[in-house]
Amino acid sequence: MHKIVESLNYLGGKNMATIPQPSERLDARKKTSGKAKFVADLTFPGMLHAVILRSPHGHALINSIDISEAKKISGIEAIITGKDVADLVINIDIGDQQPIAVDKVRFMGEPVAAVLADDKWKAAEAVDLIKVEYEILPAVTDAREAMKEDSPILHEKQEDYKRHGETNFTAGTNVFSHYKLRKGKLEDIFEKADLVLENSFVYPHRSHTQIEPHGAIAFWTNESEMEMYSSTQSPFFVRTCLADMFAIDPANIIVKAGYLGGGFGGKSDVTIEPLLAAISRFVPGKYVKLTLGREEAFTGSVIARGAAVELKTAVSKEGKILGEKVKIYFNSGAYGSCSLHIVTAAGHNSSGPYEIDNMEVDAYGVYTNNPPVGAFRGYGHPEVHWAKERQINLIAKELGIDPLKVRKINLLKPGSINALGQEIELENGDLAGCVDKVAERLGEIELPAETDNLVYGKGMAAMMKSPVMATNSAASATLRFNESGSVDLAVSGVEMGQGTKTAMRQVAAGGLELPLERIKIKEDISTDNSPYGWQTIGSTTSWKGGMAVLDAVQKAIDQLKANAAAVFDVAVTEVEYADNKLYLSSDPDKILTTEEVCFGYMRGNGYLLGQPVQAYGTYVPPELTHPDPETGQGNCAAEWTFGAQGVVLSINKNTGEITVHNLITALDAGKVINPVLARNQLVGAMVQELGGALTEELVYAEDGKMRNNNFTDFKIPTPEDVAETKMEVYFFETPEPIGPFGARGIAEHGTVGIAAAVGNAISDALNIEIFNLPIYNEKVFMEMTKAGDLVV
Amino acid sequence: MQEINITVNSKEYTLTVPPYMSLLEMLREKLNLTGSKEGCGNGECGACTVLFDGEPVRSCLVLAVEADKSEVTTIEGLSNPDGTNPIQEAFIAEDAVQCGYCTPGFVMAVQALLNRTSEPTDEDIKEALGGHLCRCTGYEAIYRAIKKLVK
Ligand code: FES
Ligand code: FES
Repeated sequence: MHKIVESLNYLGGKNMATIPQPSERLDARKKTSGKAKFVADLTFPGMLHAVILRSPHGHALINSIDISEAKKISGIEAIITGKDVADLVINIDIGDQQPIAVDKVRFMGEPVAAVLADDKWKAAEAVDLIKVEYEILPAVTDAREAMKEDSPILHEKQEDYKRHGETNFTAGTNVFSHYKLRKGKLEDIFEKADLVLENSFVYPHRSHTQIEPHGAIAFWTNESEMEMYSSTQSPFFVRTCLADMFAIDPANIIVKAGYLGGGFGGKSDVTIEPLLAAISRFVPGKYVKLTLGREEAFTGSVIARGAAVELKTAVSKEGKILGEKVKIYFNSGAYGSCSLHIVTAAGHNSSGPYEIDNMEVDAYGVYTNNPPVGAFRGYGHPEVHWAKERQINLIAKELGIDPLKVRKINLLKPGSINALGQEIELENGDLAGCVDKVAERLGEIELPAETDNLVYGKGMAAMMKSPVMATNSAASATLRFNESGSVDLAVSGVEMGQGTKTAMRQVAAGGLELPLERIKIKEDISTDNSPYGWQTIGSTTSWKGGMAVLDAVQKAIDQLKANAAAVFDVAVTEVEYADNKLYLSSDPDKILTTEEVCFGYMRGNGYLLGQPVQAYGTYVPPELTHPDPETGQGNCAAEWTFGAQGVVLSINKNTGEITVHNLITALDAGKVINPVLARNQLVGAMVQELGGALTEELVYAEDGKMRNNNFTDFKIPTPEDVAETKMEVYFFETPEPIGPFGARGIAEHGTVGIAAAVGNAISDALNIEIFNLPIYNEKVFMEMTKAGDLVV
Repeated sequence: MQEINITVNSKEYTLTVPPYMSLLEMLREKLNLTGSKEGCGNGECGACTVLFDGEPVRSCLVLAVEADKSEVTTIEGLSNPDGTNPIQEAFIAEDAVQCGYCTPGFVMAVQALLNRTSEPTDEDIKEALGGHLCRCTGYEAIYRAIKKLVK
């Protein structure tokens, strides 16, 4: 393990060997006693309820809407259809979506009308009475199909859409984005290679299924001032989007976010907020609440993943990858903004954690008649790692060598140039160490002998992840001393279970050398007075938020020193801060406590020296750029987290039933701020991804109807599924120079390689090769019964 | 509308409820006991679990009118007079809580299990958690918390 402490550049290079550890998560007591309030738990006097009429069709023209019967229900305050809000456009990156469909619906679940009533049952009754005449259009639900010339087109006039920034679309087709990466030259590499392996892999759509369905409450004072409570990971981002949609100043929109019942990316960007804002504007002076039912949460927010990845890999007989052609087709659903950057992230990371000198990557974002795809834990990485890490094993099989050997001769190492053209440095993390650790653990685990019923297998995957974010994606923090010497801290990230507030309090306590109990952190966010934060995404909150906290800490210490210098009547440079005290460097016995100076120092006669200490800290990842339009390269990833994952499983030979015995992750976390929280993030991510590996897939009929929008038919992991599974998490700590105390992002990373490790373990057990997720028991059983050993 | 008499967390109430209102809605909307959560409204997730005459039920599947003359305990009613409860303490100690949305349901399920037996087997535990979904924790810490309680 590398220790490069001297490269740390925060707080004058101070490294916190021990960050203060709390005995429990900050919010655990409230959450275990039912006291924690989520948006669905809030009510306001006179509050109205919104119920949404949603399209039952995947693709259809709206010929007419008749609300006359619905209007007759008593207690109805407003019925709103697309025509009433036709001037509103949701333009995150691409202005292709409206809060309510106007002339045409493009996915099952798209809002068609909304009813506001004083009681949710009346609203639902009225919704049932709205008559819509649809003209059904042919639908397309697969990205590669949607790119064919005869495919139905979802957006006839893409060229008319307003856009924020460049999106590489092709008018008249379903392609709304094309990310291109070019590194080196492929030229005749495929002719010269010892092995050329071409495979296609599919990672289908999933649903985030946060146990808390999306909810929000809006209140317009007048038509240009609004307040909203929302189950959002990104209150500031919601504010920006709504301000843009209504063309009003963001300062006139207040978005509040408290506890979130799970996010995983599916509550970032915007989901139901533009819809609720648009419809509640018709009833100023009244609170309007919209909460999704479970089926609606499947179809009426965003869905996840959905990519086909085609790899053509040129390899030497030793297993060195000479060049690779990658095509990624993202099934982005009906609207593109929320998956635009996933397409790019997948493109950036499609090399996997390997140095490949010659690469051509084409990643397409494609419209289809499915609900729009949004961010989901892993953000493009699990999709490409499913392909890449399976491909590595398939290469090894073809060459008759150990897959570990193929991984190791291709791994990125210090001095390597990654796909983006960035040079990998020692401080990016110990990738080889993580790979070795997982390989070692897999080696140590002894498998029982094969029986008539059971066969065992082991598999691994190496991985890397970088967050994709706006180049100005800031995080910030405010830090204010109270008269008692305690501290009020606020940080921009939303608490959604990842424990960010607990960790940020630790960072502040570590930086200020104050006991944890002296730091009070604000748990909710309100955009009017909370420190600004772009979005709570990309596992960046502990990293960027932590840096913002340390910036505030540094500024607060400077102010404390200035106050003390005024008391000592010396230059500020002569004052030191340590251990919650200020002292004169030339005479360490001259001491002032923080408490004495944090509000300014008052002399006996009331004369005040200095001023109350209040600091604002910010952090923006340094020197980020957009990818170059031609090569796709650039400094687009501010940090990388490297790791490896492993799986041990058994398969019942009579049924194909898979039991997972071990889930293993080794990750270079830089610095683990809170070992309990960190481990539990990784475990949660591994199990969540196991769902993607084994059971989760949204199924559509040909006309675009989603067939399994409930927990009975869309199966996520249950307690029983992992009752016998041993979870193993190993952290390496190679400090990240631009991370707080050296920490880097870890919360999503447990998802990245699990599916591929499962696929590789199944190959190990049965010598059958799976290319398409999920790996249902039945699929394994069918493969086992087929003749031959290499099948789709 | 129908009148019902119900005891919730040892307090007696007489309430007028519409016939289609679920017990979960009654608890949350009429009594402001929002600790029980709705994750699906369909009996598939367990977030709404309460004790109904001592038995764990999905309160989203029970009509309020069916709860007439019965006794209901919710997460808010679990604490001892000193504000603590051993199940909650175990969940906190093992960090079995992330977003916390599923937590009240899990805690109620464990309470029901421990009411039945103080020495549940692994099978009993699995059965008690059947149909409870958590999307955050991966269940490991929840199992650890329960094992801590029965040891
Ligand atoms: S809300 Fe009752 S089981 Fe899900
Ligand atoms: S802690 Fe979030 S669903 Fe269980």
